[in-house]
Amino acid sequence: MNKIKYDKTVFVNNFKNIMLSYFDINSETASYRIHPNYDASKGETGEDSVFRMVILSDENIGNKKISFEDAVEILTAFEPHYPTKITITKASEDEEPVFNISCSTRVRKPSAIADMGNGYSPFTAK
Amino acid sequence: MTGSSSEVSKGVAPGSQGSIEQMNAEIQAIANEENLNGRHLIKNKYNDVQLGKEFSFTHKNGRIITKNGIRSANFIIDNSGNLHIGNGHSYLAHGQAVQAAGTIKLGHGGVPRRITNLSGHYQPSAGEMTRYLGKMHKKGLINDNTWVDIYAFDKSKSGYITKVKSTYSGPYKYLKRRIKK
Repeated sequence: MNKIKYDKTVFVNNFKNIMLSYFDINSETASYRIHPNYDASKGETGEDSVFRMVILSDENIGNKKISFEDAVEILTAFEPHYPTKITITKASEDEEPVFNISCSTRVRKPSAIADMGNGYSPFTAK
Repeated sequence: MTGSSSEVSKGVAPGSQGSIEQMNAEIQAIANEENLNGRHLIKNKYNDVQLGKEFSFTHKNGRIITKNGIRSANFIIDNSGNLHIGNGHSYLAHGQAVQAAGTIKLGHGGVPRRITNLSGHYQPSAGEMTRYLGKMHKKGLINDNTWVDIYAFDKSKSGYITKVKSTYSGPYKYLKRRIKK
């Protein structure tokens, strides 16, 4: 990613801005379901294994609708390391819009995360 | 933040005196179990064995040198007391209970630089980690200056585990002073 200071504030702003940019929605008014995206063929660090098996476990968040605030805290559990890729898609639109978050189970420092090319790394949207 | 700057520089998390007392109580319970059963084993919290890889290494004069040159890895100490280094804790342990699990970082020449209790499969507690660090120190697998990071989980107001916080971060020599003999 660009050599700017990347911290939790930047991460949260990227989350808010991609929601506004792609879905024209205030991120704090939506709910989210987080789904771990685990690639078993890639090596897993101790942090990765704790992120996958504790933070993103079924017992902790499995298929639950969570608030923007909780989603941020879960995704930044290992700050200053962040998930390498996060993809947001719209799940449904009721009175309360719900979004699915497909989250890589690998967490890395910002300099080791690929630039998504959209200005909102590590977030992409579909 | 509470706690003096000298305490922080010596690895004590601010306001963690209570947690050190809890850790000592846990260590005593583990020691009692070891007196009865010979050893304390940490169970695999999941019923699976992940894909992984084990690295060959040499251990001599307090230095651990992997044959492939990798210096950051997962480790376990199995129920026979043998060290295994590689990727995937449950792979290294064949899914069995272990005496220790976490991550290790080796410096130049194989000097053990940093050790943590991060393992999704085994999730060693602070007491378990501190107990096995003592044994690893005796075996020369870590030294007084090896940096120790002990992690615990924290919850959000909604009750989700959202944080992995360091309850101790500092050289082993300061941690061992806090352990009741």
